[in-house]
Amino acid sequence: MSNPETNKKIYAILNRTILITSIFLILVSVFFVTNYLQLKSNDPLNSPALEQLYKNLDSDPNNDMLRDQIRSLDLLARKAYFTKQWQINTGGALLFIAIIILVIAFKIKSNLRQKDPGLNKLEENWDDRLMTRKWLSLSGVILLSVTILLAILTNREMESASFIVKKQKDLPIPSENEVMKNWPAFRGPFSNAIAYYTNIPLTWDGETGENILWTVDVPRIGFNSPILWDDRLYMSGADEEGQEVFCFNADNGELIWRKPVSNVPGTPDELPDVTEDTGFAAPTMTTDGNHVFAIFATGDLACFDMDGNQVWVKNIGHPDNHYGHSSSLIMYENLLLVQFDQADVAFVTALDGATGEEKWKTPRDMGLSWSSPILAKVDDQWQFVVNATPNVVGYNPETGEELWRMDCLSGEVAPSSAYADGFVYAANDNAILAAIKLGDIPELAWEYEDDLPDVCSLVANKDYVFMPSSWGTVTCLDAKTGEQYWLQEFDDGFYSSPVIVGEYVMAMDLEGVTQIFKADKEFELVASNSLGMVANSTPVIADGRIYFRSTEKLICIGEK
Amino acid sequence: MKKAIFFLLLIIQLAPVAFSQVQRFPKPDFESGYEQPVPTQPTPRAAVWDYIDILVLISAMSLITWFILKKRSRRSVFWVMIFSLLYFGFFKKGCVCSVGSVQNMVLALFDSAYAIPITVVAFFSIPLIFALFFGRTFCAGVCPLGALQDIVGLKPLKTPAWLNQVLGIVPYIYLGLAVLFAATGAGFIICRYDPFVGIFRFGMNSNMFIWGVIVLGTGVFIARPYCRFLCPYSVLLRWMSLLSRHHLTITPTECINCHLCSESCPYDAIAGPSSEKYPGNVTTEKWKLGVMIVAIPIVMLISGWALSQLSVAFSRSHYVVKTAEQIRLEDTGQVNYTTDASEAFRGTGEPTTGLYARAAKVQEQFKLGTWLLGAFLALVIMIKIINFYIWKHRDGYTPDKAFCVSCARCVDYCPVEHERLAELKGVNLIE
Amino acid sequence: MNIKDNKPVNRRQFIKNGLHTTAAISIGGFAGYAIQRSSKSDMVWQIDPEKCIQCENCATKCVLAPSAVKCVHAYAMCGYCDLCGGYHRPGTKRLDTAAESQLCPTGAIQRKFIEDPYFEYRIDEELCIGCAKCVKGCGSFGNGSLFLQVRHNICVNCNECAIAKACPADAFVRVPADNPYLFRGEFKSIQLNEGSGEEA
Repeated sequence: MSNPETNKKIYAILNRTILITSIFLILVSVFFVTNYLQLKSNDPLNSPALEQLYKNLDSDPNNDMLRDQIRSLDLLARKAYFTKQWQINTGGALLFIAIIILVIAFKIKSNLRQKDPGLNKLEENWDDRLMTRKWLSLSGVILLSVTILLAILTNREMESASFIVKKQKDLPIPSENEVMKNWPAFRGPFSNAIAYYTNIPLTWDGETGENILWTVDVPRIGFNSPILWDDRLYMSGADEEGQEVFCFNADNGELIWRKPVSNVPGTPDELPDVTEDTGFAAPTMTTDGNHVFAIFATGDLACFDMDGNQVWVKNIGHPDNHYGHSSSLIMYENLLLVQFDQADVAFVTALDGATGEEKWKTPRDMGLSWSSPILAKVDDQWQFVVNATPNVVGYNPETGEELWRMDCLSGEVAPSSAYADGFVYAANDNAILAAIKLGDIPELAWEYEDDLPDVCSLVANKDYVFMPSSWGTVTCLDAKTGEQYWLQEFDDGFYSSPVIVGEYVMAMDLEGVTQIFKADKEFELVASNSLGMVANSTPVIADGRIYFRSTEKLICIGEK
Repeated sequence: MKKAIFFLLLIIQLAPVAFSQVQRFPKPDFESGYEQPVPTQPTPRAAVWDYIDILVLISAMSLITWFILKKRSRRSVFWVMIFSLLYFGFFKKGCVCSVGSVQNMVLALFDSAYAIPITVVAFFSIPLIFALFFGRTFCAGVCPLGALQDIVGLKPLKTPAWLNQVLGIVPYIYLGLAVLFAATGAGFIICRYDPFVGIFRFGMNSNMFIWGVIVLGTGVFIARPYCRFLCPYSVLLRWMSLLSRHHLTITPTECINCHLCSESCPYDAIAGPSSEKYPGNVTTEKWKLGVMIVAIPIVMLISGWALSQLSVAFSRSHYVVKTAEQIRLEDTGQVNYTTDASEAFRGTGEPTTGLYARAAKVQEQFKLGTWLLGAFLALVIMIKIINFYIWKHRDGYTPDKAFCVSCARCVDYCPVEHERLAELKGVNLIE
Repeated sequence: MNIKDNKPVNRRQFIKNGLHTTAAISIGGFAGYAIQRSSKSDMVWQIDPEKCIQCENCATKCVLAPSAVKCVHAYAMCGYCDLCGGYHRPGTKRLDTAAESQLCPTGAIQRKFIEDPYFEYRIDEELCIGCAKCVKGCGSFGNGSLFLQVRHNICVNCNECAIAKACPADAFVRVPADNPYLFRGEFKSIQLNEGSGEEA
């Protein structure tokens, strides 16, 4: 149809078009790409030079030259931005047009060319079929093996990244008996200062080394007391430099692990003000036998497993009080109970030990408190008893529901209560010693007004209440009537809390001398044992052993 | 007064408050009769356009199907293709397209809160219905993605049959993943990795644009690479087309086995006459086939299990899981930085447990989803392999219904067709 | 391998017909189910201003340049302050319209004196790039009357919005096209006719 002469002409035109368009295309592309990269790497709207000028202006607000400079640079930047934007859009359109022309030219060219009909037979043959089969199988096998390999390699990571709560066996909740055999909190089982083991040495001497099995250094100071689970002791330490949790071998004092508590989200930017005798790590740790928990003066709360792997960490609030946060932690089954009574906010809360998840939180209309909560079992029902100004309050540890309250405290409450046989005994300096008889309606059974403690706690059994004080007195009262049996004055005052060990009461004074006397109507001093150093922590009573912590040392006492 | 406000502002600056709706400054009482302007609300394009789109789609589909099956004219197909490219591509900016509509359909199925626009349903189902009766006429020239590639396919090279088959698995994987991500609400990956939407919009988004240029560049030598080796919607079209009753044929009547059309197809979608029966040992082949069939459920189980082991990794593409992971890393002190997302989450005041629970739910969905995906892909590959054990008798040259996009190029090469056209002309002459 | 069958065509045809019908029913069923819960109107993207954290992604992640997201001013919430947290660069000493006093990188906010001591702030959407710097400023120090919205005369309504994907606060939601704005505060539930000038 078409004659070869015109065809040739068309070909020539097409070729020229293709050449010109291609050159144009390349030029525009280069321009386009450089422009784009420039805009990407050097955003005129976020120019550092301009930022700097702004800073200069802020420090020198009356410099008119600077103003002019900023104005001109700002104008330049805006112009650059919008021009670039325009250039890119126009460039894109030009590029597009060029490509269209090119494609059309090529298309016409290929249409003009006579196409050869197919000369090869497309007959299917078995070699091809087998080949396809082989390759399909091969790719299937490769895909599957790569998936399996990845599955195996990433198994561990995937498991840890999963949020699906596995229906694994819940971590065992220690039985009451187990708790009593250990020393899982401040003042021992249920924070009640009554020891399970009574087979301890009654005499020791830090100076001569009598019955001192070993003494080791605690790497960071802290006024908290050690806790014990199985054969390990846990305690925390903190100063301006950092917060740490330590685990010691209870047998030989070897440091098994030490872990920092840092990078806690929500932690205060500045350390809170604390007094020298409270420090940053006053609250004692606690454990449920699966995890250990520590809280610090910053409000940072950390959970580790028994081997020192951090399980969770969080900040539960910024403590605001003038000595430093010092309410210890306590565990009810798998719930970590926290008392947080501060100047601006006060609450008690329960967190799931394994996850740190908040189970309940009850706000409190109380003042500050430095006291530590205790657990009391009343008619087979556990209660969580918390002291603050002006009330002693009992909560249901499972729900956080307030069960009762008794208005009997005042001042700066630091001593913890004691519980025995249906009675809660709470006391504070400038207030009273209140014996609260728990029942459907709790009542104030009796009160006592003299020689009250302002730091150390009370201890009681079903017959007697023993109340040391910071002024060196120890008062013994009848548990049911409040009748005073005896009052003994010692040389030094007491900060450390007393402990009942079988038929004896142990109380360590401010000089590190532990006074051991009979838990009886009559005062009878059994021994006065010097530790040879100052210590204010509450001792840990274990099978045949006593552990003391001074600010810097950990001492183990036992029959040699 | 000015000074007072300035002072007040200074005080507020000293105590930064979170973005809140508190009216810090009272609404002024204007004395000058100033009237407050009202912010404008420019509307999206009118709803009638949705119906116009559906109408255009149906018309284009009918027209191109008629051109392919009745007129058998490549030239007409080409012009419909240009129209579709301009209308659905450059005018409508490529959204919503049938390829992406798969995800909207899936999301509508799984997310009760999502009300799917009627246009999307139409864009999803109309091409499939046409394919079920007439083959992939949608691909031939209504799909703007196909049209764009068809135009640039200037120098198509032949690729070996086995490679076409192996690469033909990819669309299944892509479809499976797209369904998984859409069903779990993780996102629309087909749209995210759509190579041409950047071109339709002259997009600034560099990655999208570069990806488009790469696919188009490849498309010069390997015809329609996206359609053949990536397009997830093509999987559904393949299935429908396989069952179609009025698919395009190369020859209008009977094939004379002249094999003139054999090289006309740029997509390697013409199947020649079948070979002799299997030359080797047929009994062993039968045994192998039997083993393959029995192995299907086993391989499906293994594959489903293996892929489900990686479900956590897949779930990370979901916003909730990603945020929950970051929050957990922060809460356990494993990182000492925060992200915009974690700060935004903390700003909401939602307890982390709620977030974790939502993340766990998403991960469970992914677990089930990856299980099914693994099993599905195993089934697909097994059937594909088995397909090559079974021998089917074929006499002449026919389009491979699964892969043929009904572009009607081959028709021009058939001598029988030329005869028919000549006859038609002859009749006209007599008239 | 041959499929041994006396009447292969019939049986194959039968299976094929069955599959054909099944396929037709499944497409029809799927589409029918979807239509049953479909919305007549199209769905479009919008920002929930209560969730927005002003991360500046809106300015950079949109497929369009400049972005389809613009700052919108709910005048009814505005305090018409002289010192505007959205208009003035923090720390600026002079409350004027000079470039060095402005926060907006493109000068897209126009400040107009109304009466003592009130000033009106208007957004020039031609210049606005959706960076949210002013939104942050207004939210921190003012009434929060400035907020980001997807402007639907510009937005091309991608099936998957590129900004939505990148949004760290999950603030992008699909809304019906016949009610496509989520305005802040008192404006939220009130339908406004363009240019009616009525106060909310």
